Amino acid sequence: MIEARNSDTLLDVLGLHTYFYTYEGVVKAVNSVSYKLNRGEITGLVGESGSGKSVTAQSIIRLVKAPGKIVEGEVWLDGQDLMSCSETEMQTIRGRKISMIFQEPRAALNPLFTVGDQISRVIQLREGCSRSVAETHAVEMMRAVEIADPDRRANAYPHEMSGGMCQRVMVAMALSANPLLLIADEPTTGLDVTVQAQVLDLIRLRVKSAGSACLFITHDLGVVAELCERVIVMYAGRVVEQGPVAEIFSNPRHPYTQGLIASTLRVDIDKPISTIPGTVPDAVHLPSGCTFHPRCPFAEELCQLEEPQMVEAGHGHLTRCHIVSGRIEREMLEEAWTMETA
Amino acid sequence: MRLLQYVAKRLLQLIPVLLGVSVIIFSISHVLPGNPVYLFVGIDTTPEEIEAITKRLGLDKPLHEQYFIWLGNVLRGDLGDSWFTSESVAQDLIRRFPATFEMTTVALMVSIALGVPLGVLSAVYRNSWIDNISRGITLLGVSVPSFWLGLLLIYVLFFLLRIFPPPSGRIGLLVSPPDRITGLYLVDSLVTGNWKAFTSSAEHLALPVITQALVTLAPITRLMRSSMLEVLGSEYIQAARANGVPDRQIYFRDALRNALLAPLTFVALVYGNLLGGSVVLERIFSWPGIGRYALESIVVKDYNAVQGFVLLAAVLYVLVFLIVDILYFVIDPRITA
Repeated sequence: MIEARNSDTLLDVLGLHTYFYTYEGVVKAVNSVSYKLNRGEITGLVGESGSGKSVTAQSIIRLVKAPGKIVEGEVWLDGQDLMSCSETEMQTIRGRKISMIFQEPRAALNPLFTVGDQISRVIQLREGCSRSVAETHAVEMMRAVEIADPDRRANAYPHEMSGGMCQRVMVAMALSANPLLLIADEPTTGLDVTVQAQVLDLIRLRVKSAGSACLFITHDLGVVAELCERVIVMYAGRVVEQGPVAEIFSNPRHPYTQGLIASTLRVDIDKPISTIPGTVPDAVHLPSGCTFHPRCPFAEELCQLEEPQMVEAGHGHLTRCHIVSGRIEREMLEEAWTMETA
Repeated sequence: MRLLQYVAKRLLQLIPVLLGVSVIIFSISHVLPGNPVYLFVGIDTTPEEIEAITKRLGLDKPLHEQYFIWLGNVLRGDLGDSWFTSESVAQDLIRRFPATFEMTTVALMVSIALGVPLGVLSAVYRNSWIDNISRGITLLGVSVPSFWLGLLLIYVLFFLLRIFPPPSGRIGLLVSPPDRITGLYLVDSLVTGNWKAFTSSAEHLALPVITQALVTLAPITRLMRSSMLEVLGSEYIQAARANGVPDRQIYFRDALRNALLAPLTFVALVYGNLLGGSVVLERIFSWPGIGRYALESIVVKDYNAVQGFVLLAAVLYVLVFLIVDILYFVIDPRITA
């Protein structure tokens, strides 16, 4: 483990398991997930709804809601194992070393307090400074995320601001900490495209200049291609493929990743849009073997029987597929995806 | 400034509401079967005399004219005379209302003071022993009828254990009430420094207050618990946690204010109802409040008294909701004038 943690690695997640104990049974929302985040890099975490993306993020900061529980795994942040920290220690890590931006900015702001109040409160909590110093700092942060007229806006309540403005407030709050790790959970869903681009620019700028790492959760592959250096693909609680963005996008090896890429709309290539047949499996009763096999156009008997292991498939490119590992000899044809829906 | 504007607006809105209420109350006596004139006559009254009484009472005038005369009297504070107590209804109500007000207000304050923290603790320590105890209490509180609970408490706490005095009204039979300033015995005895009257009235207040408070406490605790749970599960609490806000601040600063919004309306509803007098409890504890007055007036068909009571109850209800609306306005910035 020591040798794996080189100086570029900021976050090292090892064998993370987070389960939800529901009445219907155990949901393995995060199932043996391992990945690394490097300093100065933005890593995209993609997958359909229910694939375990958000729970992965919540597990890192140990804020999984009941009945969820982190069962097993290590999360090393800058040489510190977060899983062995006490809850009090975690409180000093959250909002200082790790910040989070949420999917629904307006829901993530307390409706009864002004936005200035909420930002300066977080600053005050962290710095232990006086109220007025924190308020000045909060207005500066609002100016830094390009909120016009920040002195006046600081006195506004969340319901008096647009969704884009609220998301800037969240970004200001998260970045005011100069965090080592920024977790952004679908921060641009629900924002219109121009605002989306501005928010992404803000995040990119801050991550690059501060040399921190960013885990960017999204289901939008276009955003990943534009913003991220590396990408992790999750399916039904497992990482099925990960590697550098350029590599994965030009040479996807896992059928699920291929399907995802094939199903994005592209204006530069004249091809019909395809979809991945079927839906995400029932979380309580996952398919045997490779969880993707019921939807996979290349599946064979082995895929139902045995779960594939993660294998190296090129430069830092890892994937979990029997065909890639060579246990099944078969060609994966790109046409399989377009034919499926034709 | 915003607040003043809001209060002024809400007060103006009360006018049509109260007018509507007055029309309904006025109609009661005219919809009910029977001629009120017969209440004033004997067996041997001649038709001429009946006509004269009808004229004297103004009952020969058209209905709308009668309404405006009645409304004018009400606005001057004249609710007519009760023929049962043969005193003015307004005086009767003024004399009795402090008893009801004192008992219900103390009971409500007790149930809020216990119910809110209990609900919060229940939510924060969900499924712990605190939660189980509080759920037990609330289950009892909502399932046990108040008359039974009242009698049980009298039996145990007065008859068996002699902790509290007998249910003989607001003050000991041998203790003279404090000089009347507000009509609230606790307040008046404190202001006049009448310690004997204070302890006696506090002791007499205890049993009805405990009974009422237990009944009201249960739903307040339940609502507070569910409201707090909902708020604690919300995105902004998760976000506050992700920002490293310590638990204590999460509960008392971020969550509590939001969680209080839902139970507030319920408390208003309960208080509005209670101020109209609790017929059952006032009877069990021989409490000389307006609930008992209303019951007695209905039994003897004392129309003026019933009308006066309903009018008072309606006005109190509307006032309580006015106060709650103003509280909402102060707490929740999303409400605009």
